[in-house]
Amino acid sequence: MSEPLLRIRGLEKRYGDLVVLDQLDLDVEAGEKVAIIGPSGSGKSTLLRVLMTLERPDGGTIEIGGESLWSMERKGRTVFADEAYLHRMRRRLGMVFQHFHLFPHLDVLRNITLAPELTQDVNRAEAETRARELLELVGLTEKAGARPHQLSGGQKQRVAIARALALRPDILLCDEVTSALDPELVGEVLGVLREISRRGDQTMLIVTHEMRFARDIADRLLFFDQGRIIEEGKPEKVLTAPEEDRTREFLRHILSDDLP
Amino acid sequence: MTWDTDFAISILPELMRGLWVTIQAVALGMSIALVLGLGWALARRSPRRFLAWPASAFVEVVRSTPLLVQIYFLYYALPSIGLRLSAFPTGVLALGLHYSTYATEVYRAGIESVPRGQWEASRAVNLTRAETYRHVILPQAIPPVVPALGNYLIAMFKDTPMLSAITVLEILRRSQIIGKESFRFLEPLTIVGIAYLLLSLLSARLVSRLERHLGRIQAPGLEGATS
Repeated sequence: MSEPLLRIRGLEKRYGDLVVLDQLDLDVEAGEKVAIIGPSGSGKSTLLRVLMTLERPDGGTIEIGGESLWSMERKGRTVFADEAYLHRMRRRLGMVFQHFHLFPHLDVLRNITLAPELTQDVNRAEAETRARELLELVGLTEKAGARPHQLSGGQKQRVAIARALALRPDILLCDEVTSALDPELVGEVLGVLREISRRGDQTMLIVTHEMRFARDIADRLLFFDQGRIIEEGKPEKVLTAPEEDRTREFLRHILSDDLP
Repeated sequence: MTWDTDFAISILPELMRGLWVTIQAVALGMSIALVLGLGWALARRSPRRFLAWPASAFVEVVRSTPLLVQIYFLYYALPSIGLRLSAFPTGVLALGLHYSTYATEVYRAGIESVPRGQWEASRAVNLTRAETYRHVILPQAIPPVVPALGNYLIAMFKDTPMLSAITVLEILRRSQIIGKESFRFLEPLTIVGIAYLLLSLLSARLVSRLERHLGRIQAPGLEGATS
């Protein structure tokens, strides 16, 4: 069996007494699309934030391609990763946020080219060529010169997806990327993610409340509750014939009005 | 004593030389204040305590003592540890250091007003802390605080007479010398007052022009929408 791209063992995160991630184990294969569902506060977003190094874990290990994300070797001892080490590891990850977080003072093209130009070995022209390809992928070629405030929420999120992909991350993390959008704008963003997923090799971890989307896109669906993976499997299986009571209860709540 | 226009005109060149010294002192002092103020702000926010702590202490001490004391200190106390500067550079340095501790609070407010999501997005695209400040945070933090920084420019003009205490021949000191030599104070001091008024008005205009200019850089889209 091949080594998984992402390997998580015993991951723990606490806020004071509150346990947000509780001894979490998870393997993700290269190219796999994993959707994560579950009630709010169940730790799904925290998992992505720990992976993106926005939050420090309190215990456990995360390995990406066999390399530890949050710890490093120094003089034969394992120590907490320093900023330089994290900087190197972060290259392998990209994230799309619920609230976009585009850079408001930069135009769309610059939002996408800024990081590749600064952090990777590409010049402005190469970065712009790549950025225009990505704008084509997300269907916003004509918005290259626009400022974020001139875009709709759906357009902003598509730019944010392009910005994350510009760095060619091994793993793309999507944190409730449609939750802040007006309902009529959700489709265009999910459409872009579907297209990326259809192209095959991008490993994706997607936290979402869109069950139909999760079913269509994911190879595997995880149901989170209280910082643990309660149930996992093929999306069809988990959504239509869940084994756990808590999964069933959650699905009844959330699907009461939109089960496909 | 009545106003003597001929006398007033005769002392103008001398006072203008003093005015020029005042303007130079403020231009240099403000430059120092803006650069150091930003430096303190960044140092105080640094996760490295050996940077954050001394910067905080310095800012606290300087803000809690009068500018005049600082001017005397630099001029009379520093030479005893071998640091001897002539009057004008000492005065400029004192103005710059003093106002840097006010400018730093303004920068801090600007930096803190940038939403946390901007830091997180910068991290997610793997920018370093320095790159994040330079390309993401400061371009958003500084334009909104330019008016507040501008107020300190005007305040600094009004503090320059204190430099006369260490014999800098700025405009007020020259007017006093003229007064003592001619026994006429009305004309020189009136001219000094008018000169300060004009300087304040001019700096206010300068600041508001800068503000408009930055506003244009910030939101060219808005401008495009109206045209």
